Amino acid sequence: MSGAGGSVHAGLIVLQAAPEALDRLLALAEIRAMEPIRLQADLVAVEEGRRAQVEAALRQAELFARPVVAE
Amino acid sequence: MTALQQEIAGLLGHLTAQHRERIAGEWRRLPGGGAGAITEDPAALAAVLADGAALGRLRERLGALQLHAVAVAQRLPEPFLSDRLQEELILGGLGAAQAVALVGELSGRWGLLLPAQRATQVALQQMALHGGVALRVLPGLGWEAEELPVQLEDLPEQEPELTARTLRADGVMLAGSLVELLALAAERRLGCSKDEVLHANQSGTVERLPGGWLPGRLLAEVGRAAGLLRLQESAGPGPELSLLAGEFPVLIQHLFWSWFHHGRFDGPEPGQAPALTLPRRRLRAMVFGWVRRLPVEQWIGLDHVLERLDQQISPEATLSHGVAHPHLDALCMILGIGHASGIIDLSLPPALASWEALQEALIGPGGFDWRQSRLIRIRITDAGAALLARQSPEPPRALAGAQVHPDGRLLIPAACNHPDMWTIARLASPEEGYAPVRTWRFSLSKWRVAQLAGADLAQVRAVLARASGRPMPEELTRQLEQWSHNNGQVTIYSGFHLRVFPDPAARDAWVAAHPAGQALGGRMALEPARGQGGAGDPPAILYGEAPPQSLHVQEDGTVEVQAGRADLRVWPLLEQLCVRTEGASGGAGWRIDPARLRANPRAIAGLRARARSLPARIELALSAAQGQIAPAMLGTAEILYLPGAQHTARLLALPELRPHLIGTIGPLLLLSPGSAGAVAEILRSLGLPIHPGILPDILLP
Repeated sequence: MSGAGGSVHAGLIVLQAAPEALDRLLALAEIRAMEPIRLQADLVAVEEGRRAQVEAALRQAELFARPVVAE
Repeated sequence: MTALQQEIAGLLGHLTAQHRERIAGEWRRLPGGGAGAITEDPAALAAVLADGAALGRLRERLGALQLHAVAVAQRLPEPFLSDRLQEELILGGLGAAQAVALVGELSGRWGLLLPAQRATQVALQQMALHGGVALRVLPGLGWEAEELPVQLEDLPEQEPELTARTLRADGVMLAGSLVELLALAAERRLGCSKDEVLHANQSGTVERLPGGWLPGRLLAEVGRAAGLLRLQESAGPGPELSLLAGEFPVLIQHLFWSWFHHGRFDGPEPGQAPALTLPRRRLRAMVFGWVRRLPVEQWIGLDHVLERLDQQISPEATLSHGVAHPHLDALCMILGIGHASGIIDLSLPPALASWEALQEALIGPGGFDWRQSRLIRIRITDAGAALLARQSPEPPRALAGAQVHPDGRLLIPAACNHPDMWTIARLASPEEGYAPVRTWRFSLSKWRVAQLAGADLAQVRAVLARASGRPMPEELTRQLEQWSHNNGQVTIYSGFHLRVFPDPAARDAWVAAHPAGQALGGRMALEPARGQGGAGDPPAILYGEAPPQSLHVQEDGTVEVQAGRADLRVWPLLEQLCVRTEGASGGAGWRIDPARLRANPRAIAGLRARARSLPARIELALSAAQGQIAPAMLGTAEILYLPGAQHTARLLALPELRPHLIGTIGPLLLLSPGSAGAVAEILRSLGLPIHPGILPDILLP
């Protein structure tokens, strides 16, 4: 469990947006099929391999993607 | 002398001899007025006019002259202008909006902000006294000072009709009167009958007018070419006319009247777009005059163009994306006018090879593709640069002393013309009214537009820090951040490990110790998956691998989470399938809920994958919720029938019954085979009588 350094989770992409934007996104069947994890109101995690589907869903929900890739 | 005569005499006393001569000439032309004695003595003239049958009509003329007098007064020193302007406004009985428009003219042209504010106050008092505001559109508010006063002969013959239009208090013409204006314009410019146009427009007929015009199309084209209207799709016979949003009332009026008096409207030849033609001198005046005359807040969205025009800097500037839709029409006008007048060169992508195509792309029914605008390049021509060099804008006054409040209010001196005002005007809206220190307010809509134009929080912070000398209040920062999220932007973090901490304090401590880490809010943080990571902890869960079996599910549906590798999916699963209960140790516990099982059958697989083992009845319940149970099943169970619902509830609440209970069907309790004896003991302990036997068919569900 979470220690002082917290529990570490890999293999995820994390989506951060306003709660209502995430609600809109999670209402899409394509996204629900990915079994996203609502970490908190403004955070959702999905498996890393789903990146392309997530971006397609964002376009469908008329949301703008701002990718942040770790250097 | 009557009061009316005194009023007229007072009014005439402010006019020059030239004006009085014009009034006398006007009087002579009025029906029945020519017989009266005419003198240039104000009192005598007033005495004559006060009894005249056409006094009302003449007073209309006098109202026009009143404005001319004000225009003359502009040339006078400020103290005189201040008093004079107030008198003029009061004596002229101008409506507030007209007065405000006039004040805007004066302040923009001469920078006389203080008297302008005083005059506005007077105008607002007038409005308060008289209730509604009836305004007159006067062509006399011409474009350049040296052209004033406008000759009375320039006023159209239909002047009473034309000037009696009602404007809204904010100076925007109402659609009805605008249609009349356009019809009149069509008559004067195109040879159509105004009445015919109006009638055709009202009746919806589609007969062609002289010149081959369809009435609705005609009005739309005239208005559109004049920058007054935008076309809207309509279910009716013709396009609907609607005014531009109210951001540019002064501009629109000037543009319209400038075109009306000096321009030419070329109707569309087959296959060609209509063209609005204005003399080159007029066009130049518009491009430069707009920049200086209008309050800065009216230029939101146009700054990409205007900053360069006004500051005379870049010889070539890219018009970046992000101009607000309501301003596109005006932008089109500016670009078009600048282009047509040789001030700027537009370099257009092939798809927008002509100005008409660009205009169609910008304001046409297909909307505007922001990506296209990046392809539009604006270059100020040598002639334009020479013109700009001859302009001498006022030196910018510092933006020091602004106050930024946590609730998003900005208090800024009204006279401020610092370039940073461009940024502020893109983000905040001024509140109504004028004051030496004006209040602006951040708004979500403006912030969205600004974001589209590339504004970010750091830029806003820098501008506000320069303006106020202090950092931006934290509350305002949070508000803007929230608005940023509301903008529909979703940040996708990839290539990170997600760290989940027991509480936000632990997260903050970790982030403080790991510069590469990035706090996400709440208990979450990110760290780069490669490079400078954290303390080298192995990832708890690599998604795609089998999840840890961390759930212990009991016969009664109680679920316990075992300590072990952290699993992000556990808690959403429990939320989907269970209800919270009070755990054995007093903390929160979970129990599988049949309704939630049925509502979220997809989550059941996740529960199965994480459960160490599943009791038979739970397995049965999960399978049932997943629809995996065949319609007919055969098995063995002891059946207990309790006729009273209160007994059923009482029995089900007993923990000692749970190990024996498979499930319930209506009033029937299904018990594990061989459990009859133990259950009978429980029933006896509750004082319930037992009647062994076979259930009658009627009780079976």
